Amino acid sequence: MQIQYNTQRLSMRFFMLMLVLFVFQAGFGLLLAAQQADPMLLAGIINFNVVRAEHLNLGLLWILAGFIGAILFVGPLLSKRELASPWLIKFLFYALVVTIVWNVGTQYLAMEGTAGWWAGQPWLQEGLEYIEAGRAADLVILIGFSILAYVVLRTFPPVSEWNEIHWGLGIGVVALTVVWVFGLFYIPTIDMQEYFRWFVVHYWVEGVWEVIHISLVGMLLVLLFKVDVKSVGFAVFWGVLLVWLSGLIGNAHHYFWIGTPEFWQFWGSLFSALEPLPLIFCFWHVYLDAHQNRKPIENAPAFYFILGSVVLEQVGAGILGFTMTFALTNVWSHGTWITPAHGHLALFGTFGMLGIGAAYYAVPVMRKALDFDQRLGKLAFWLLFTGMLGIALAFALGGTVQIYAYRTLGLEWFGGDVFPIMGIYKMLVPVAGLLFTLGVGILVFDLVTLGKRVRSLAGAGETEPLVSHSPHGWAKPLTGYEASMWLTGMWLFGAIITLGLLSFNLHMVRVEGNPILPYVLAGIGYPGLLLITVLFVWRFLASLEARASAPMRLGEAALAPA
Amino acid sequence: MTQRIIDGTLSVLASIVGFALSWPFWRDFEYWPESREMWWLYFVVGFVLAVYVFYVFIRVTRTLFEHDAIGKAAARADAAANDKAGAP
Repeated sequence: MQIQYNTQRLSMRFFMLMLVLFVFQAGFGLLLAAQQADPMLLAGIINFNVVRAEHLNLGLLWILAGFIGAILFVGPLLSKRELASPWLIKFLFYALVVTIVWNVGTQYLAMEGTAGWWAGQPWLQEGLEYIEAGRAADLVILIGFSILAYVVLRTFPPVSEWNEIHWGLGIGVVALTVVWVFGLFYIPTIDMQEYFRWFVVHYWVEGVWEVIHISLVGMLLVLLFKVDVKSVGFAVFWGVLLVWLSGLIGNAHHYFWIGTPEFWQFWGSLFSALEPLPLIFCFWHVYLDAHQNRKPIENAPAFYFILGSVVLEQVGAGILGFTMTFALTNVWSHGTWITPAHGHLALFGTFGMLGIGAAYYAVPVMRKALDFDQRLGKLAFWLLFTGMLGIALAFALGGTVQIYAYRTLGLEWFGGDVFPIMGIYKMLVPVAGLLFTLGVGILVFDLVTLGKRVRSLAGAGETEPLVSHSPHGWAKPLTGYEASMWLTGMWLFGAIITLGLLSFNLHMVRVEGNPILPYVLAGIGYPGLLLITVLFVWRFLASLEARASAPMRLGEAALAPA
Repeated sequence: MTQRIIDGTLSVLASIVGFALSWPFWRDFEYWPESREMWWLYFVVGFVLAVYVFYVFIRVTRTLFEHDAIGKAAARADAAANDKAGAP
């Protein structure tokens, strides 16, 4: 695979920007975890709320940088021509850098209460938890999204020639811009402000980013496995439709407790419970395409991260989202650590890992380093994957204890009653965070220096598999039946977690104050879910890795195990 | 037809579970506005839409597997033909 269009190289700067922002975001995350353990750490110098706003903002920004990089890389391939208006893309990059620096810098003004009021608008910062930008940055971001939409639509062929991936990306970039408009409203009353902020975040992640995600995953599978575009198109079309059928109304799960009518509680619960369906569908689409044949994977790190993306989408967005999406469970879980357990896995897993996977596909092609040493990429994947699962576990268990202490017993958060009860989990977050940060370091080193280091003697296909070379046992081909059993196992643990959250409604817990049942169910559910996730991904990848050491006769490569 | 009945039944059963988990048990419906009929319509439309979404999911997932099976059968046939052509 060689670079086919010169303008594809414009994606490189966005991938590199993604890595830089990822480093800062992880750094802020580690600082947040340390401040959770010691609330006085850097108090007055850089307060918790500022660090959190930076961490959350950068989380969105590096993912967007990865999306832009991926779209710019695949855009010419989809259109069979160079990107339109390359100068605008360069402008977009510098505008993005300036906006990020401006945005990061102005957050500190929140500690002094300086918002930069002019003409009734806060131009410097708004004091929000996330999607936090002063009006100046807001407008530049709107212009940036518009440029991206313009470039993509101008690059694509006439609409009559579009396939499903064109439609997915085309609608995705336009909707990205349109939904952002709701982030421009500044309303002094916090509940209305929250309403529109939720509107942006959740229609982005559950309506727009999902569409871009499905389309990019489809395109990357075409590139990685030479899958037929038509069969991928079917999956993209129905994946997008299922996302909208469930997500557009299901998004009402965010209207439960923000002053909107109780009307939303039933539909919000019912339709958001359907939101995992497109994620299950997407998983099977990836499974089937990866098992079209038994050829070894040429670019393992790229596929590792794509698989990580769809599996963590399943676990973080799908299963953990499902457990807390019913009004009956959400009434307990909202605003507790249960939410970041879901949020971290869903946001980093689904969208972050996709950007990294796209970078692992694109960077070696652009640097003409197709025989790059893949070991560091695989190591980075496992550290990031297990580190993030560890962070989610600490949040989930801490959140369960928090619900009991905070919501059931009614102990005071600010009075210091809840803090000691959650102590051990507050310590676990930075421990898992360190593992994750190590993964970030290796990932960044690998991608930045990829193609510039002295290459390993081992070629791409000759790297050491994780498991035995034998195609039997753990490394034997993964059948569809076995994959469905793993998936069922994950959902069973999800059901246990859901019952655990539901059990907070029971008289014995809510009134008598006995936490045994929710604790036992959470104690089984969360570790079980995260353990089975690790085992499944290990099993999946081991079966693919074994292809490299099991050469087949001509014709046998066409036989698939499913 | 049998397949459609099975798919439809599974969709209804799954929607019943979703419905039961989503029902606002703690509400006394005092707040329900003027028309109780509109609320029933709201619940019925929600249920029917949920059945439809489940049904679509089951059908398209099955089609995904059918496409895969067709693709693999074609690949096998091509490979067998190549083997034959390449044989001495």
